[in-house]
Amino acid sequence: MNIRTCLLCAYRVLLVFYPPSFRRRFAPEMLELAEAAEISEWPLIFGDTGIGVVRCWLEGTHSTATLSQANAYVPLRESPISAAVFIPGLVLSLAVVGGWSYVNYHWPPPCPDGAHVVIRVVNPAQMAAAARQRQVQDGSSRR
Amino acid sequence: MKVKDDNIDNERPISSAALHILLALAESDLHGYGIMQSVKRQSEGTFKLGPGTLYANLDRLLASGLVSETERKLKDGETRREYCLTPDGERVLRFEVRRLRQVVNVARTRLGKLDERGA
Repeated sequence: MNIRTCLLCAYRVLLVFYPPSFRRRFAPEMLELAEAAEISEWPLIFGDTGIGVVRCWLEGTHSTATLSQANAYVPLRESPISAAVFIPGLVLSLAVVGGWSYVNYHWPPPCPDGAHVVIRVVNPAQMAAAARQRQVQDGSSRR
Repeated sequence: MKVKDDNIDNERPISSAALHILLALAESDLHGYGIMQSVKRQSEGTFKLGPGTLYANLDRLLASGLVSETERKLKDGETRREYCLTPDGERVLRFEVRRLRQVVNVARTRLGKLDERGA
């Protein structure tokens, strides 16, 4: 596998990040264009396409490719998606979201012996005072 | 840029990338790579158009009706999509060039005055 093939594979992956309607409409042409480009043009191609992906999501696509397709933007009751497909999909989505939330809630796991790590921002004067107080307490407890 | 189906003549300045694309298509109908090469040639290499900018602009120009697309059959039987300038696109291009000419005239006058002051 030479460097050109690797670059084309990476570029194909980058094109996946475009909005679907834009990708369906322009990705084959963009890939052809990249195939025709010289190696020296690759930094421009990658940089420009990377920025293009973000801009496309932020500004929206004007491509009518999705609109012209059959069954695009039709009400659910008229869509070919049946309840038999929709309900398992909904359950699976809820399970994924629920699982993700559970993991996030319980992560990181609690410290051993029930101690919790608390990060506080303390100024040096306060820290010195707290250390002095601790020393005094230790001294009195030893006595 | 003129919005399609809008009766009000509300042309606004277009981006330099869109201007270069319209200029390239004013010469002949071109496919994506052809537009890229034409822009490089007409700007003498100073304006480099990448595929992300090119197709994002083409998307907008197609949606606003300034550019249209045709499919040309190649000798080997394959088809290639080419883009061409529409009458609306030509009108917007002329408007933009007229606007830029006005800017250049003002700039020339004012820079001339600065040169006189400096001399």
